[in-house]
Amino acid sequence: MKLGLVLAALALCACDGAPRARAQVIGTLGDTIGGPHAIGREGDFLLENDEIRLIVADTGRTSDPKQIQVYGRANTTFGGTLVDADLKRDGVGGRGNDQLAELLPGFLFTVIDPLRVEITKRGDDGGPAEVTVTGTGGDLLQMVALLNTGLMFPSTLSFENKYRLYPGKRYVEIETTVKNGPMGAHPFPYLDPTQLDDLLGRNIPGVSSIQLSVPMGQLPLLGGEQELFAPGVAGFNVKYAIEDSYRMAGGFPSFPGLAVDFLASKGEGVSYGLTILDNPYNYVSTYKAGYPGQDLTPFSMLIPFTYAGVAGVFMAKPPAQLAPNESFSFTSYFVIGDGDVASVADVIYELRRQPVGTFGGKVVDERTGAPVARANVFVLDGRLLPVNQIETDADGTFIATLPEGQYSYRVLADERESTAVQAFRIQADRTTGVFVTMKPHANVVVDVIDELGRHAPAKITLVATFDTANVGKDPRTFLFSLPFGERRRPTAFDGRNLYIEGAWWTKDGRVDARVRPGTYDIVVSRGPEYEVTTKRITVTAGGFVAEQLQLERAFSTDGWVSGDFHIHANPSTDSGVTVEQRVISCAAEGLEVAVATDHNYITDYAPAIAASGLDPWLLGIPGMELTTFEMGHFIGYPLKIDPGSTRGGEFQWAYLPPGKLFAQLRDLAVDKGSGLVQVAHPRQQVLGYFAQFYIDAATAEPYVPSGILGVFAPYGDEFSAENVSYDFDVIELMTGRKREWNHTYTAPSPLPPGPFPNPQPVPGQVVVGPDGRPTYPGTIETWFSLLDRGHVATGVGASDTHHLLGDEPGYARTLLYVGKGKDTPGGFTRDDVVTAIREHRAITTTAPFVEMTIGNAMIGDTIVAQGGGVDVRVRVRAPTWGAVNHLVIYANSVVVADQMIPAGQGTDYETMVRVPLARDSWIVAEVEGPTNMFPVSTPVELPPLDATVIIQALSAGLDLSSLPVTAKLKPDQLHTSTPYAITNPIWVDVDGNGWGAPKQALPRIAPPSRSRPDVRDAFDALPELSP
Amino acid sequence: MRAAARLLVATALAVWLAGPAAWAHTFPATRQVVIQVERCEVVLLVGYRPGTGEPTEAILGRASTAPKSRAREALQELMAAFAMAPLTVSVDGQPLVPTAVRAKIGLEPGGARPMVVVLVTYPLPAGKSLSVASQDPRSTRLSWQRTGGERVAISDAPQQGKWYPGVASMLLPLAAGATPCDSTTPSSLPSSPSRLSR
Repeated sequence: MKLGLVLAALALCACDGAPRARAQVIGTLGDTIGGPHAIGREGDFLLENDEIRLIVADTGRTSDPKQIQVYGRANTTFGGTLVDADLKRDGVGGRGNDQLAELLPGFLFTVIDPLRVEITKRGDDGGPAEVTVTGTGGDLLQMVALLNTGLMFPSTLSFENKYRLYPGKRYVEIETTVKNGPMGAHPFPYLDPTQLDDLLGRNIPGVSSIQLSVPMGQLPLLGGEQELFAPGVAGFNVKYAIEDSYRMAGGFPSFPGLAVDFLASKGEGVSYGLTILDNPYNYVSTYKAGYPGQDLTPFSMLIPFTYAGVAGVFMAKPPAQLAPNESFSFTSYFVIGDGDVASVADVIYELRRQPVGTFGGKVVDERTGAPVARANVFVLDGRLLPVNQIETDADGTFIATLPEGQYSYRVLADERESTAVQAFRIQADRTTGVFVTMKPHANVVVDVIDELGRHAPAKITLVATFDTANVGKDPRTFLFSLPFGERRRPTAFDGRNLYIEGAWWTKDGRVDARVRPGTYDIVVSRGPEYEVTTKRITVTAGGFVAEQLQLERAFSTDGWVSGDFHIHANPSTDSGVTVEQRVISCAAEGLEVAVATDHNYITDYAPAIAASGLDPWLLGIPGMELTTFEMGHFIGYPLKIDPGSTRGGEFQWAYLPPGKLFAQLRDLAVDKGSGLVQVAHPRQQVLGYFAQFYIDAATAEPYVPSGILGVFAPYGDEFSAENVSYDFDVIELMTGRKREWNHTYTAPSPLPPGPFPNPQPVPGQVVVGPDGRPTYPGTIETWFSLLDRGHVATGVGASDTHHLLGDEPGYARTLLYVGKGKDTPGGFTRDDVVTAIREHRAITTTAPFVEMTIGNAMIGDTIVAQGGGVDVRVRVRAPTWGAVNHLVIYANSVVVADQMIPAGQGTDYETMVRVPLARDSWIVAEVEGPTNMFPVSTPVELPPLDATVIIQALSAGLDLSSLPVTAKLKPDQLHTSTPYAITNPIWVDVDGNGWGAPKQALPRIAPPSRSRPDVRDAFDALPELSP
Repeated sequence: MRAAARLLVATALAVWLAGPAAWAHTFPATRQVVIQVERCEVVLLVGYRPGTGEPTEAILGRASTAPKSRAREALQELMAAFAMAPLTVSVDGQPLVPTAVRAKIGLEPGGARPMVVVLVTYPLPAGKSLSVASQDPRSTRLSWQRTGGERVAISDAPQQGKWYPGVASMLLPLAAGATPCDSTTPSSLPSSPSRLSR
């Protein structure tokens, strides 16, 4: 009997050993994937087979008003998206390696606002498992709502996305459907060009004759660890290849962009890819004429942008019109590889049923015969462009499949010279093997001690020279290759032929590095309080050099500590730096306080600091950068960690006005009374609070933008001007090396060749737009206006670092006065830091130390001075690599002293300035210098995406010259990193009756009354509409 | 009256088609619902503005096809219908039927789109829970308050007087021992009991 039951059970169960796929609702965190960007949690949907695991988020909304809304759990606004993906890793439940930030379908810029996420196939029949998301249309960004409305008109459409996982496959099939409602035919584009003109509400010359199209596809956010790759001209240089493609765009109706055969990535232990099959609705194939000079295949997809970590990958063109209740579907495939492009491409070739052969081999050191692990074997096409990348394993071996054809290969490794190009041929079902030798690397060992003989944290940089014939050229053209994924090597960017071969941030001043043979200057540094120590060495292939170097103190800052209040590591989806690397890099840059500010993730550095033995050197403070898509970024600290949350705490960032965001950060604080709210990069377009709310630099109040800027203004009620909140404590005066955001932009003298739009610019004067307001208002002018009106937010400097070399932590930074004698390891606490900020005892700096005093009063103090003036003493100290030459003193926004600092006193300067004061005032000192701080702080030398090129391609004959990004006169974004510092104020009470703001106080927004009237009375009180 | 109706429709259409506010921003529909629970009745005060653009145009277009003598009433009825369409009020799953519906229309400041405020009264029978659900949660904000009586089990209810945006439904637990009312004795009578045909 028992035997019969067992046999029956065996017959029923799936015990045939065949691969299976399954779908389930996640019941416990143990069922989630885990990894640097994992955010899956209970209630989400798990899809898994014997190869891969994926998580689709739930709807992101709740019907229980007692629970917090979870719109935009981490990245984009809505739920129902693919949030986690990894290979299946046995025996490590929950400890996976998810590096995917998010993947979601995009219908132009319309995304799915899900009403339902459900399992539609469980996979228990041996077939695929499937999760289906259905919903209405939502805007990816409110700023592009008009484009969505005009081209998609999602209101009468419904959307569906099916994630279908087959047994044994390393891809998930994504079937995306848009369905018309019953009311009438739905054309694509929805509006004709003349109606588009009406929608925009202004007569844009040329718009009525433009024919447009509606691309549909996927929007991947592949995460900060992943490097994007597209075969051909782009390689690993997708970002700039997109810009290049815009220069040769064929014009509408096709949207401009880069046409790629497939998109893949490279990462640590996991990689991703996106592809389609040959189909009749291929967007690029439909509009071939729009992509002259590009390599088009039946599988081509269009990448028109990568923005804030989101790439647009458009692949389908819907029919010209959908009849009532008619639908249109397109299918794409999301592939998971094991870390290189080749493991993704293998799956793509299989999906496409392309005949392939095998290419494999081994890479060894020429001298020792030792395997070269983690080398990159690039497969090149006939034009020597990269079409695939294979990573060698620990044994130096590699293997991949390739379609039939003639290829070449070349092997690159960070610490060695790359190999010569070698040709080979691939035949279907045949294997081609190669044995590759690489020239040996060199070894450099450096041992750093500080002025007290301690093995303290330090940065060690190797500086080399390049051929002087290349001075002035873009380093991408001769120093490193972005298409081949080579590391950026920053140059001095000042006419010298210097570049950085490598940099190491150490916790104890020791490094044992493999480098390319050559002659280098070892440069040892530890932030602005130390000089740099330099030693020239030459190392040969296989050679070894060891040096001990000592740090030299530049100046001491008794009572002041150095902090960075805006730092990212890999809990942020756009950073690949581990938390351990991050805390070590902070300590090595001489920072004593590091506030973790990952995007929508509360991170605690304390465990990593303790594990690295850095407790005596660095204080970590948990915090977060509450990251909205288009309202700005806001930092809160010190925050409490919720260990039960997959993101360190629960919060909402979408659909809330600023005041609610600030209140939320205060609620998350360790102590609600002491939590600080900081406005990050306030003047950055799209991501900055002041920019998005059009805060007038002269009044610190919002205004309604006019002209085309209004078209792109977000529409949500939360963006209305009355929702502006001043309930923040801290403003970033300087973010990173973006000095161009500091002050309001003035026209250069002489002016570059025109013509310019009206009003005509005047050399040396502020550049203004048609409304008379500055085109590029400064953060500092806005802060001054706030101070004038009695809002005493503390100004700070922060790095907003996401990487290491080229984006170093601590530049800019903040010096905080925590108390005499307390700036010693372990001598101050988190509360001292918070108190110093609250008391405005802070200096924003990239290197100089500026002490400003009036009598015994220091920065942050309020003093009474009824004598009609004060003597302001300023002392500036700086390392020689950050010497200054210019001092300005402001009182109530007016320059009251402007001095050039003599050349011999750029590292130690002291002056006393008599400032006459007629009324209560605040006084601030600012210094700057021309010194290039290379190699300690690297220049901004690679251009950001040129919006002008993109807009010109998009507008194709339209006059969009009123957009600031198209203006000829704009701040220079490429420059060296130079010394700059600005103090917080000393407030002077001149009339002796307490300090009063020199200008009218900012309007206070009254909190809504908590008691509301009877609704019947409220209704009766409403007026009837009168004629 | 006719002149007023014509003025309203013509002004709103003109403002939408030609006014600068239309391009400066576009706004989605908004629906704000205050649920007032009384001893014997539930009263909903629903404020509604259609989305700018096609939704407003559609409403105004439909209203303008009504006989001119009824243009104002037609617009009011249409707006009220749009305001209430996604909302369902039920006790223990049984939908409630309104006993009175009143509406007032107006133009939002700036004149870009019409607004309506609807006051709907329902009898409140005995039961375990009162539910107000919206099929359009994205545009809907819900709030609740009570006046007189203890019909809601306050300890298990969401906070009063607070707006809950984007929720699909609000569930208010009804107190176990509360005395249900005779359906002919409402808590209070509307001061002007005009009814709208739906």
